[in-house]
Amino acid sequence: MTTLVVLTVIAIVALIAVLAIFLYWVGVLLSRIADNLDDANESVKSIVGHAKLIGPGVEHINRSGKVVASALPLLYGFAEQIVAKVSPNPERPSVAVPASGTRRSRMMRAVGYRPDDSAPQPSGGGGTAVAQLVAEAPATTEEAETEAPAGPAPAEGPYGAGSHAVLADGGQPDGFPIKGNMDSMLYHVPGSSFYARAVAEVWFASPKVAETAGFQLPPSQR
Amino acid sequence: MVDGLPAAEVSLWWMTLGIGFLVVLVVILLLSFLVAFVKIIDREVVKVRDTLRTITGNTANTTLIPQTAGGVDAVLAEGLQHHLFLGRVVGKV
Repeated sequence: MTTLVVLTVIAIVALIAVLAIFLYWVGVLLSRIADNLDDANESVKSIVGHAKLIGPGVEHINRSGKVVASALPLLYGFAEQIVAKVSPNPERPSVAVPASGTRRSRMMRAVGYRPDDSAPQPSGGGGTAVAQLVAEAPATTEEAETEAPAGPAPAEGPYGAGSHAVLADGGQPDGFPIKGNMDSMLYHVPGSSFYARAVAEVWFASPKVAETAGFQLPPSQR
Repeated sequence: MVDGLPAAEVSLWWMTLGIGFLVVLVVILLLSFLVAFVKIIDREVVKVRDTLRTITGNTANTTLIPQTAGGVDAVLAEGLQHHLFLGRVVGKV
């Protein structure tokens, strides 16, 4: 009887103890969960506060940015007008078209004559003489007007003073060392890599005269 | 008879005591499940809390947006000054 009573009391106490322990354990866990949820709630409130700044701020930036973007072309236009007014804009001299020199050189090429070509022509020694005659003869009346009068050296070349038309023998006129190519509008100075190979279609006294006439150095020498 | 109780009652008492201990074990098992589930909830809540803290750190930079808007306004004001200056100068050059 006593044993039964004791065991019964033990069973009841054990049940109560187990319930109490588990209730305390679950209580602790739920309390911790509540704290974490409270922290999460604070974080959400902060995020909402931060997010409220995004809409109006971005709208403000967008509005101001559009005004800036539309104003920049106006500033550019002003700057362009000022630069156009301030920049020196010298009038370039009109370049006379050297009709005689151009036609002469083309005529030389047409008949196969090259001033530096010393090879005999098919007609024997008379080829050079014919080419000289062709080179010296004015092709048209207009050409005759632009050509210098016959003489040892023309007083003014196809590009005015400081230029010289090619000689009949293809040689270099005295005082005109610069070779000019009228097809490419390039000039070559003595000693440059292209000078020996270049066929002069006009001679210049100096690089300055050549540039005044509209000629340029080859791109590799600029 | 055992200690003045009939043998049938004593047997019934023992059986009741056995069932009582069995109930205690079942209660322990069920409460263990409950604690396990609450622990899972606790872990997930901690993850949510950490994620929200990270998001809060990122969104804290949105306070720069009004400052940026002020900077853009300053650029606009400066551009307006340039516009006025160039408008005055362009006719005098």
